[in-house]
Amino acid sequence: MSNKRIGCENFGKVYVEGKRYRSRREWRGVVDTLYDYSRWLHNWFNMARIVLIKPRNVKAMFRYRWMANYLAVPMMIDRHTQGLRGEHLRICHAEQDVIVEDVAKLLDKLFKGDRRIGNDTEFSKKVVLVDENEMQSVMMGFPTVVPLSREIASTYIPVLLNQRAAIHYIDIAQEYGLAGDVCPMPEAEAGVSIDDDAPILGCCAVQCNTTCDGSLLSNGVISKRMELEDGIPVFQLASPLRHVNEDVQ
Amino acid sequence: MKDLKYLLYFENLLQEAQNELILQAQSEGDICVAYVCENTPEPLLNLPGAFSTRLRAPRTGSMEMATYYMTSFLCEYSRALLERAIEGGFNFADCIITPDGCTMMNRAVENMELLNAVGKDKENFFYEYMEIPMKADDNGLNLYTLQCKNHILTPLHEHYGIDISDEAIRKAVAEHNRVCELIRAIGEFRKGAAPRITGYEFHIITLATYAAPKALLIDKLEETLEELKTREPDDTKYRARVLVVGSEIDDTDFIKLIESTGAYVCADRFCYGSLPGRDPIVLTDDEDALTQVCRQYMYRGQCPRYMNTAKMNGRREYVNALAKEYDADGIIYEQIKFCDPWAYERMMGSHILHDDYGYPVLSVDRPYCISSSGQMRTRVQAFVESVEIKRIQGGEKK
Repeated sequence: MSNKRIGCENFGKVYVEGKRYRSRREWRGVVDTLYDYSRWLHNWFNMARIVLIKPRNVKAMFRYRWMANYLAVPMMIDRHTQGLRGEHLRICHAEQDVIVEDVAKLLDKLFKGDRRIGNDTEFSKKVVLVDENEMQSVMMGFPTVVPLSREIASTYIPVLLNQRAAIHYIDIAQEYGLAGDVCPMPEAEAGVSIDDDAPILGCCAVQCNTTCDGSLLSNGVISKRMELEDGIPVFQLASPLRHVNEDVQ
Repeated sequence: MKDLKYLLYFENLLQEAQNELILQAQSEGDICVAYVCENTPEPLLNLPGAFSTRLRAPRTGSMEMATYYMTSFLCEYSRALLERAIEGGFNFADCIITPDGCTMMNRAVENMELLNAVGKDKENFFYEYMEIPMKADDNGLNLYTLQCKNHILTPLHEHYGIDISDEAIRKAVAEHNRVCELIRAIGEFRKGAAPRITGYEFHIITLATYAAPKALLIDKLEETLEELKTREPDDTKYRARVLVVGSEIDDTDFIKLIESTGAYVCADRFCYGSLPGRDPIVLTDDEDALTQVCRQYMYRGQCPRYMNTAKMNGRREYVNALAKEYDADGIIYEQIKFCDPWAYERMMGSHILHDDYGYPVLSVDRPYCISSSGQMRTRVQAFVESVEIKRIQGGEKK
């Protein structure tokens, strides 16, 4: 089916084997293509400014297996903006580019306090580790601490970048004895912990059972390493399942 | 060993969810309170004028209808219950009360309600869903007490006029304790080198106390206990004494399968088991009975949904304590397929009980109805042989 708008092509045309790079880029017309290019530069600038420019973060790229997935950040943006024009393109970039900057800052902070990388103990004392699906809004009541989520950086975002990102950690978890029929998200998080492939920092951790039984249970796996090996005390925040019921408020 | 007089009777009770004692109790005017999870305090369901039955789906074949509504990724127990409900197998119940022990169980009952699968012709039939604590602490106790009040006691009173006073709860606890004491006493015969009751027989008897009205079982339990006091044990030398830990087992074939390999199931730390499900509840006069019941259920509960660190560590310490008390040579950690909570607990428990406590551990998952699974038999046989060899070679536990 052809699209009559200026600069649009059928998507299949950009994926032609054996062709040069140019044929794989989407032409959106002059204005939108230049806009898209400027945002690509913007994202690379942010990633370089926040993460890549610091040698400790480069060290982290080689220490943590999941960091390799972040090479695919521009590709993730491309996938989300594919086929978009005009306002839609700008809205999508506004959303995606904020995510890129936010995650870059998260990575930088994690590595700053990580005992294996930056080892900034003063900063680490202000860090409270939180789960990926925990409502971080509760931490807004504690302005002197810095809530950071290891799971977002190691599991949640990499699977958006690379669909195969979690396979190694799922494998690790299943080799350790976890059944293969559980939800793969907490399974991958447990695998990261079992593989000892998570940054070690923070004065304490607050785990939450959201969003599901799998999260609730994998927290136990993660807390075992945190408490017994890393010396990070863990507090479990129990969130009710029937949260709209009056008698659980 | 000489057959126990009432074993066949108990076995027959377990052939159907609606057994003859349920029919008898209902014909006498009692209300049948169906529940699905061990986190529902049983005494509160057995108040005067009511009796509890924990739903089972014995002899489940296909679960196609339930799988259609719940997908194939969910626990087989929850699907089997929904399947049986759709088939009309639970229409005897006068109400269903479920806690959110796990989301799968919750969804099974919610589907029953949405499909109007149970109690359609009963004017006073109700479904209730409880939010139960995930941490055993003061906040959790407050929640538990309030939930029991709002979702067990009040509905029973409003729909069926059940007496929910403190006195009624204490009376129910006394009856519950009588059953627990009998089960405990019977369970004591599993200890020692020459046990007078097999694990299979004990499981049948314990399961009957979950599935049938307790008051109508007491006399038979008492007779069984007397019988056991003089029963001559077999000369059989069991190859290994095993403690079975894990998720719900309401399929007696599983215990039978384990014992057919030469092992002896000396203790039952699973849902539908006696540990801690048949621990008596100790009441004092200085506090209301409801709070005391909830406190004891909360603190002794071994469900993996309890996520605070003390509870997590406590579960493994409890298994170790049981293994010591019942002199278990090995531990079988089992779970139903697709059970998320027990998948993680089994993984951690297997490693901790082996690495930290030094027990041989077999870690398996199983379907809801095991029947005579050759695969499971092979796994258990291999485990029993390895335990036997270790013992012969003089291996010591830590």
